[in-house]
Amino acid sequence: MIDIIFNNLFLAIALLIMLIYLLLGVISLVELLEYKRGHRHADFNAMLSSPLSPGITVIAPAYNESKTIIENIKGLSSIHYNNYEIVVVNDGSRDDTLEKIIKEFSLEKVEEELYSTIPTQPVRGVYKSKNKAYSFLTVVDKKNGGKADALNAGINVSRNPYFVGIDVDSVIVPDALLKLAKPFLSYTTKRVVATGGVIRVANSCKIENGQVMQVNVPDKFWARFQIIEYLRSFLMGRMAWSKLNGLLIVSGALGMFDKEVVVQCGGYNSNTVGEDMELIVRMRRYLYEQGIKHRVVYVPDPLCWTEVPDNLKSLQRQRNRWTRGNMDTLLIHRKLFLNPRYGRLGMLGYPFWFFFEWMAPLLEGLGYIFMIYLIIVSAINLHVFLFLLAFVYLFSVSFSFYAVLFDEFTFHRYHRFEHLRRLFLIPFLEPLIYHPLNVYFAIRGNISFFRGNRQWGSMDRKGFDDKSEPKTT
Amino acid sequence: MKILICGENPLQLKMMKNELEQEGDEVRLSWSGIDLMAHVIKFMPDVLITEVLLPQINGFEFIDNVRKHFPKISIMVLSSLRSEHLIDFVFRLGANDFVFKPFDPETLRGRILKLQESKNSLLTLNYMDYVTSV
Amino acid sequence: MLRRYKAILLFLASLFLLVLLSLFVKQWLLQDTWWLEGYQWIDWMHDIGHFYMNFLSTETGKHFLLGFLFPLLYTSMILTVFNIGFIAFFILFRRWRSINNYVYFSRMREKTEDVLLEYLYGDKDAAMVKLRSLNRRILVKEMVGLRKQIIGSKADQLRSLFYELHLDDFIIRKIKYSRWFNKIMYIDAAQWMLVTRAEDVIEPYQYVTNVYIRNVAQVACISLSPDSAFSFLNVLEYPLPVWHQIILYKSMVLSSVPIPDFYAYLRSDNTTVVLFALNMIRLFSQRGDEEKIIALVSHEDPIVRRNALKVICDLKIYQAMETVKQYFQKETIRNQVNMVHVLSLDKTEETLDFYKTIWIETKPNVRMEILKHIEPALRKKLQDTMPSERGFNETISNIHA
Repeated sequence: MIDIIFNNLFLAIALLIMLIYLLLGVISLVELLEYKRGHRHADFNAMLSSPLSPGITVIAPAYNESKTIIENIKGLSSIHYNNYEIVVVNDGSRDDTLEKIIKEFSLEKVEEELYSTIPTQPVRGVYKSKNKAYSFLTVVDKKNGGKADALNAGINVSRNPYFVGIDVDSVIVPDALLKLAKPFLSYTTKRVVATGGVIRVANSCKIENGQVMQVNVPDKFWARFQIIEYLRSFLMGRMAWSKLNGLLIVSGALGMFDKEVVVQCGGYNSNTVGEDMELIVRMRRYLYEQGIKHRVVYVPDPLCWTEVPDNLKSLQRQRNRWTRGNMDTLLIHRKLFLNPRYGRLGMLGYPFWFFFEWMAPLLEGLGYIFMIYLIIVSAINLHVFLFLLAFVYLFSVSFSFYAVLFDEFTFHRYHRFEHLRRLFLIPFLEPLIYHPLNVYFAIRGNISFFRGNRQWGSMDRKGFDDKSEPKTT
Repeated sequence: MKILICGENPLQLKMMKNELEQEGDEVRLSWSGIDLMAHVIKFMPDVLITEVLLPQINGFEFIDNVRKHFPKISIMVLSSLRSEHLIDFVFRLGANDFVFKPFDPETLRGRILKLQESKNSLLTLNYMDYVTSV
Repeated sequence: MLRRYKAILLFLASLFLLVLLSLFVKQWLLQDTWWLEGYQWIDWMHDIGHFYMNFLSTETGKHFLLGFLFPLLYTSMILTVFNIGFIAFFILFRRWRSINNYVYFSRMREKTEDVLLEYLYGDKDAAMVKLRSLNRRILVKEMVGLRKQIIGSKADQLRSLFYELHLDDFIIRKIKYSRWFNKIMYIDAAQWMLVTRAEDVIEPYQYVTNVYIRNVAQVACISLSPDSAFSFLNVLEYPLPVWHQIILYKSMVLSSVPIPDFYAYLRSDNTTVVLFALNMIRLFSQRGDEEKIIALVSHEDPIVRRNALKVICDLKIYQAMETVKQYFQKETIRNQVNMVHVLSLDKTEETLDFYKTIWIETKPNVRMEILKHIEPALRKKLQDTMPSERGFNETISNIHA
């Protein structure tokens, strides 16, 4: 009796999941095409010289980045925008990050009073450049407090109505601010409170002067898996959620926010590892409670290139942290679950995230264990098992191919035959190798969460990233 | 006179080249934005006409570099920028002249000549200005 | 309306097609043999399906859901296999084609550029012959691209060439009949080449639902019909977001159209039109009936209030002081910052007096904003005279402390 229920229930759940993913994929496709076509002739340069374009502060927290910081700041200074400032927050680095910046950009300490609207760790000094070419640069030196704390310090210094939070080591394309700012200026009936851009994998790409000069598919397999994964989640998932207005996350690597709302909500939460997701959820929750109609928008343009972990150890740490961050946010805001008061966020976004990001790996892990048990007691029907296995496998392969197709339809960053040759094998291997591993990491993340590890982990505590190796640019 | 023109619209650059070559100047063009510094070093122009919104590279940094390494080249910025803040910034970086787009190609030559004349007298002053402001 | 649910309709339609197809497949699988016997790989497919159908019908109790859905799943599985191959080839094909296209188009573009230059600087008649044979789409693109960069006699030559080649007829036809995203390009071309005949065609596009076309049509009408350029503001039902305002402002600056009196639009029912009018009054420093602007300080929309305050600040409207002081306490914090800017236009003592009267009942974060945005002398006086609650001073961290 139990196995009958079990068989049919599992099949029903699997089919439901597939249907939901398919629906999201179709919505994404329609959205992507519209975005692409509507913006083909858009005059983004009009914003560059317009007095109506809003001021933007770019906040880049840095922690022990001595090797790459100069290159990164120079990359940031090539952003095309007319009314922006860069705030680099040195989060109590233990190496010579601050000294290097001071020397390279000839900074001097400015004596200005700091009005902290959001409480942070004490600030030791604010620096500005003596060189006029870098007049837009401000450096804040503060006591170590983690990425969220550093971003909060940056928000306190900022004088513009919008700010962009970035990872200092990711490469931002020059027109990123223009593209990110446009949704804020295009909606009138709803208030846009945050926008995010698509993150792409920068491993093995040729980077010069802080800009991607030539796109390549990474040499390492672990990074290649993540290309497909990122394409799928950004082009097929988040695009659709943006349309449905159910987004729960804007990636910490690049996201633009309405400062007023962020300050009202109290800024980033420095007690969680998933501060990027927690902020969005808290902002949206606050706005729903205030009865303000709002949107979180995703821009499908590839605006940010970031180095992803290319070995198992750092991949595991990253995934472990993501899982804990997810769970933290979901638990803090558990009131949202299927709560009609919170509109699309409560009825669609939160439950999806809960089931698909938190429960799905657990359920899948359970499924694997049960399957092995069934095989051992030989209670499994081999034919049915094989058929379902083949079906699920083919489905996920074709889904990955669709992700590559979407990239091809819209921005075709992987434009050489060489790239495609390297990419085409990955979807076939991914469900066999990479996916089960991810499930394993997620389960490990759950375990370490319930053991009480809610920090960045003892090894990488207060660090921003899981990169163990220094990057060469 | 040797003139190097950088920009992003090939047709516009070619047109400027035609216009200037009528008067017997030696003109070279670059619209890809790649290796601009190398072009400058190889060609050693008297006048550099450039857009700031270049593809691939940052125009501001480019102007800054040229000014730092070759104080003798007159830099004329030809741009569709309208923001006073940025135009001010361009001058602070050491540009000698700023021409708004859309511009009249036929008056360009006159503008360049005027720039060259005033440069001789102003060069030292300008350069000193730049050095002291750093 | 349909456009909004396009994705869901597409999804449902494809599901429906899949179910239909699966009904056929079911019939096909139920048969033992069939008329296309002999093609090995189809036979193979059929046999597996057939086997499963038989097998599942014996085990209906255990796998009833699978038994019920099997034809559907099997169909989609077959489709998926084909799909993977198809997508892979499709991507490769698109790559191959776009590389070829790129080579072709860049060659065509270069050719077009050379001929255009020949026309402008060399033998006109010979160039005309060549121009007539070129791809008109690329020609329009190149000419408009150049026209955007230059003014003067060469630009006029370019325009007359445009008419001589009858490209105006070409783009009018294209505006009427091409797909929406191409319309954008041709409307833009009509604007730059001043094809006044196209105005009748473009005019209705100012009120369509598609934001991209609406915007570009509004911009085009500014250049094409200077007399009734901003008439769309009177009847516009759709909002006019800041993005459109930026584009409109740019084309106003670039073209020599007389700027209308924007005070006329301050009473519009469409809030975004009011915002646009306020912004333009500020940017063009238009003088007019100041009472109208002061009245907007108590408007119901906070964004309108904020922009009205900006105008007051930039145009230095001193009469507004009393109204601003009156509404100060009720404002949102972001607007209060703007009010602080307005108040600093006034004499220092009067402003100080005002802050003194409100200081006690003001929240700490508002006080902080006030301190942040007033000039240093006033700040010092205010900090010296006004008592602060405990804990307040701690939040102001002085850097040299």
